[in-house]
Amino acid sequence: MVSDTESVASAKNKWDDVISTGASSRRRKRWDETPVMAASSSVAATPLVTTGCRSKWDETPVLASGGVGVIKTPTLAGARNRWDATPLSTQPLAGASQTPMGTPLDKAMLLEREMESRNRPWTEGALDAILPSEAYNIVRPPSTYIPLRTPGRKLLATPTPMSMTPAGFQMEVPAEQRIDASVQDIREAYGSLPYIKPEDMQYFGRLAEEVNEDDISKDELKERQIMTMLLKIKSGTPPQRKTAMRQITDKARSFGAGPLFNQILPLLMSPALEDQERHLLVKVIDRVLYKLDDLVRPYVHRILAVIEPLLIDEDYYARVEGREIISNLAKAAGLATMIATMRPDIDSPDEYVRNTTSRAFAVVASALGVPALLPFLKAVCQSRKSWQARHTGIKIVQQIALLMGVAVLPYLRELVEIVSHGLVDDMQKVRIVTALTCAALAEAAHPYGIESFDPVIRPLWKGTMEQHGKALAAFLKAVGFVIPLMEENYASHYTRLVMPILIREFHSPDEEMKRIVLKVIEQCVATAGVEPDYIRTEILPEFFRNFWIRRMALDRRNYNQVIETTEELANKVGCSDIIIRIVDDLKDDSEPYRRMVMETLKRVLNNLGASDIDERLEERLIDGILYAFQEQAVDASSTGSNSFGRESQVMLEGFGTVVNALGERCKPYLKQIAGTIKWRLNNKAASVRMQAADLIGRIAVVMKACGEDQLMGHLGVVLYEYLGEEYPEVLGSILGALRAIVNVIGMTKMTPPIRDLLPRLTPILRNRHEKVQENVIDLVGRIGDRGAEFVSAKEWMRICFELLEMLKAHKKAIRRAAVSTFGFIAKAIGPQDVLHTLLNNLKVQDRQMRVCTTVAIAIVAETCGPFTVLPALMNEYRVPELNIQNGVLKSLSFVFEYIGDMGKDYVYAVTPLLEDALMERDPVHRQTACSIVKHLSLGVVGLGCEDALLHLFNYVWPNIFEESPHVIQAVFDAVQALMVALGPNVILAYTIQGLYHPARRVRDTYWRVFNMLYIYNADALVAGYPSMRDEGGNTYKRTSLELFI
Amino acid sequence: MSNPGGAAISAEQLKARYVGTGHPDMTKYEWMTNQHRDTYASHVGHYDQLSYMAVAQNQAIGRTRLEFLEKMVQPCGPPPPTKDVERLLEERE
Repeated sequence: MVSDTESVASAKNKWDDVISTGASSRRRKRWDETPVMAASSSVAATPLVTTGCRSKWDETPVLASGGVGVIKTPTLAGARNRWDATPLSTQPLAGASQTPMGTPLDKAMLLEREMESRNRPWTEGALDAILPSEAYNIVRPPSTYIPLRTPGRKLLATPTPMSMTPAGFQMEVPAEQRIDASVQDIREAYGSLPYIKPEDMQYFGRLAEEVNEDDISKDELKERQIMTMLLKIKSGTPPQRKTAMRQITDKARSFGAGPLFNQILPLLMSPALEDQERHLLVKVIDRVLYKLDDLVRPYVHRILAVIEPLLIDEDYYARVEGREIISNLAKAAGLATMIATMRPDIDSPDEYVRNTTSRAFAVVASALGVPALLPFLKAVCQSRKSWQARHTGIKIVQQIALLMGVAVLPYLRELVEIVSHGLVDDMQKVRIVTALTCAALAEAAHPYGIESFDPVIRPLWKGTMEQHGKALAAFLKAVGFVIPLMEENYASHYTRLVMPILIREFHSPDEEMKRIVLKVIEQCVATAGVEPDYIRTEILPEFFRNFWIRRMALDRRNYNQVIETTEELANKVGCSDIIIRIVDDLKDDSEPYRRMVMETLKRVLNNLGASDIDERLEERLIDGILYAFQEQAVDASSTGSNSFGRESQVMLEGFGTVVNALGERCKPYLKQIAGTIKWRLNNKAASVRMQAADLIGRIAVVMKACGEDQLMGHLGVVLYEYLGEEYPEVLGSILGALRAIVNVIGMTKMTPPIRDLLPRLTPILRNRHEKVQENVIDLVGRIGDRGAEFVSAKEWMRICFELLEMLKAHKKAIRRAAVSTFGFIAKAIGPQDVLHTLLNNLKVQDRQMRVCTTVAIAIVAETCGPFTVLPALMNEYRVPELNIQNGVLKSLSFVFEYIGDMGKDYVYAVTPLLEDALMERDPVHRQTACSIVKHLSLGVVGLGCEDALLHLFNYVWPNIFEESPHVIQAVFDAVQALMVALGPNVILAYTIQGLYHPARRVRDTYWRVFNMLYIYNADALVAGYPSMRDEGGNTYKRTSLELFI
Repeated sequence: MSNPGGAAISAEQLKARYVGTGHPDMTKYEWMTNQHRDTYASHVGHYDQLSYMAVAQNQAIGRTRLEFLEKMVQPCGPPPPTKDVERLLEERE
């Protein structure tokens, strides 16, 4: 190249200057071995210089006849710009780049393109720009050089990970960095304004007008700037929003609070505001408040006026955001300003204003600390001037209790004292809110702080005697929450005091009062000091007379409260006392009422069992539940494929609980129950059939305990007949019932026999419904586990193929059951065929399938012994395909995790494979290999395999500088496991060399390893530290270790 | 760095919990001091080591233990002057 001085281009470049002496009229080609050829007409005729953009690659035709290697350069002949070095970039890519998360193909292309744009060959121009023109020669490749392009060699190299592996998360390339971004795109991403929605026109309309920036005043300019930023934040693209957010924060103080809030607040009040937009505006206010700090003071009132309504919004998130703003506002403006601003609203005649103000004050208290607000609260609550102020003050305390929960405990005494006089206030409203505040405080403080309530206990109980109507309800509520805090004897005493009033109020027609009374009874009864006898004689008769009536079952809230209170009463007086009173109501005419009875029975029997139910009651109970079960109204809407409703669920659970609680005492009734079930299995309505099948699942254990094997066999046959069920929900329940029966009576006694049952299940495995899948795989797995010998190997192989599809299931339980079923099958018919199926499955694209397959392989290895699986598995690793190799490694990782110390027999067998994987270029190989090393070495600790482990450690160690988080995690895990297996001092010997390396990156990593060693083995390291010489005034020798007897 | 449970912890937490851990900017003196303290702690903590060393030095075990404990204060002597101080001293001379 340097020598061919006779061929000199007319248009010289600087490379030529160095060497060319005699310039000829012809353009010079560096790669040209045969200058004579180059002199031929074709090249000279090309007016290259006139293109204005010359490159030596232009002369391809000539080169094609000359250089060997150059022909194959991927560069396109006519292309000029530097991006063209990557052939792919010339394809139209606009669509792909617009949707970076498009189809897998798009994604693969995108990745490939990015990789190539990073690895593109250097162009002449770029090299010219970087390298100095002097002292550099361009060396010609030797004429004998032939690049290695043989396909065989390519095959041996690591398969390219691109486009075959599913790509992970990728950062979006910013607009200006995209290689195909036009100037327009970049401008749009940053510059231009977002679309203004019609309903936003009133706020941003002025931005649409063109104005000359010189003509408008400074204030107007400022206003326009703010408006632009807000628009970008509100409806711009993410990059626009980000920059605008940053600008508005940075400039907040120079804009000033006034202009900012003048625009933000109307936006926030806009009725058309969407949740996302509100969230963004709240974020703006947060940032701006933080910057403005005390400058915000003059605007506190206006901000509050807008934000306070958010505090009582229906939407939970709106309330939270409102709280966040007010809390930040309080921190920015300070307590004095907040109090001064909200002071006038405290005695506003408008209830709504006072309500929001009290909530806002509670937020301020939680932001700045309750103690700061206490003196103010005290003054407000004692206000002589207006009852509204007292009302609001006490309400603030209530809101503080609701907002802060148990965090009120340190100030409980003060808070209670502040509100205590409100219980005897002249105004009824104040008394009510005070009682409710006491309830809120006691609820927040539960179970502590009874001593703080001393000042209010007397007025509270006195109040219950004197008040009536709504005030009484509030006082009773407070009493109900205070009693659980008391000690036993006090609780008992105060319960007795309040009980006559509660019993009197049993008759109250007011629904709210009824619920409160029920709740208070529940709370009183739950305390330790209340005697069962007292409840039996004083409470129960009235309670059942007034609350166990049909009307109570109609309202959802009453229904729940009655059940809860009854449950609590039963806990005190025992179950038979309660059940005897309600059991006959199972035959009541009203279905909701029967349900209420059933649910109560369920809860009571669950808590207390059936041991104190006598024979007579037992009969009535069974009679009742059978009646209630049979008389269920069929819900017309649930005759379809959907599951049955909550109502049937109550009946089902109630029935199941009663039967299970009675246990063997059910034996005489089982025939009748089975008859009912069989009858209902035949019902037209799907929900009824399903409920019946579910019931079998629940009572199977009891049937076994009663020795009714024959009956169960019969039910098994009946269920078998129903396997043709068309509704998947029902089919799932039937399968579940069959499984329950198989579970309890065992494989040998099962009717129909397993060899008939299983072939019937194989086609059902193909059903895609989740419930069916879950139940059928459980049943098949159970049969594989216990009774595999009843079925032929061929049938099991058929099931094996069906199971592969199951690995795709969304539900983890199904995948797990499928995977462990592989283990059972392999155990039954030997691993060869199953393993073959599984290894083939490693080739599929779907990652989830591959992961599950690897787990299944590992389970097969565990159940059948690793030696049956390892040879085939290791042979599979030789397939030069990424997914398969990774799958093999992953299986090995699971295998060694499962087999533990059995691994010692296989360490030497897998070492060569691990060597290869740990040296692989693909990081996933190394990562997975590292996790194998981890499990391997943890398994063989102390079993004499240190030589192999040390050998593997030498391959693991170079990976400690990996960048990718998963890989580095795996590497460090492996190092840690090897630390356990080899002892920390072996690792320390490797670590010491890098602790004082000049490069910080190296030191970082090595100290990380050292710290890991130190944390787990500080004591053992003492023997391993290197011996050091003394230095200057410091003794570094550890002489104590040199002591010798 | 992570703690035995697996959750990542920051450098300060790590140092607070395990006082002998190091960092990339640790000087030789600091690291050696840690080593010495760990060594003495190990001697004091293992009775067999302690009695061996007491016999070797022909003194009571309690005295040996006391000596080790006392040595833990500046086991390598006072910290060497930092480079900046050295430069200042030279300038003064």
